[in-house]
Amino acid sequence: MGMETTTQFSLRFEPDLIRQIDEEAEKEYKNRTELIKEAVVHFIKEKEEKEKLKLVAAELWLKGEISETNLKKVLNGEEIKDLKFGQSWIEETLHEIRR
Amino acid sequence: MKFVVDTGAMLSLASSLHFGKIRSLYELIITETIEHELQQFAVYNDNLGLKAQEVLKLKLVKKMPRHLLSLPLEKGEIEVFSLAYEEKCIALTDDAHAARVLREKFDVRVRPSFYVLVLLYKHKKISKEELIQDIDSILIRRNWLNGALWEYARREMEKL
Repeated sequence: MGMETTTQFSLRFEPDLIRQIDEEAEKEYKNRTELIKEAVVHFIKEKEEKEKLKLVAAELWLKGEISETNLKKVLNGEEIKDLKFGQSWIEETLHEIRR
Repeated sequence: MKFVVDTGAMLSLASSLHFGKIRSLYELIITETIEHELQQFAVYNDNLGLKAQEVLKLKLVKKMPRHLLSLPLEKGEIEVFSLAYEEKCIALTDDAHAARVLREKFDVRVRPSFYVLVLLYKHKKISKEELIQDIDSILIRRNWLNGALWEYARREMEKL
């Protein structure tokens, strides 16, 4: 496997946060870069997991395979409004084409 | 026929195998903020970045609205919707949330980017197979909402 290229950039944090980062890094035997990178990767993964769950719930609801009550366990009110609007928006768009 | 196009919709259309046909048949208009957003995408050499680089090389019409509609959305969307309102033409966006917010306040025609492709199909410029094939490759699934809706749209298009 080839060497992965990295890009250097600067970050600006409050002194208190830097101290916390350094303390955590020391406990984990890591440097600042490794700790911040790990935290960012973890954050992105967690967001991706949540997105996946929302996607599955929305797809099942659009197929009529789950109820709105179950959908509400995964999506908030605004997200449900967007999904419902999106469905009728697509139907309206395709209806216009069929005419 | 002309369309005012936001960044996501433009990148979707640029990913179409029929982008050349679309540009020859329809006028695609962008605004200053959309051009700036495309430039931000173009910094990266990933798939979307390369599409943005291609779009920026084209001589697209760039216009600005005289007045901005009052909407709780990002600057690019507000410019696109305001210009479509003034020009009395269709705004293209793949952002269902932005389209909903617009519809709640203003009577502006707003359509997802695939509308242009289904128009090509309706006017027999492409076949149904080409339409479905293109839909699979162009609709950029940037979040759960796009992912679910475009899959739904694809299923509905098969019934056309």
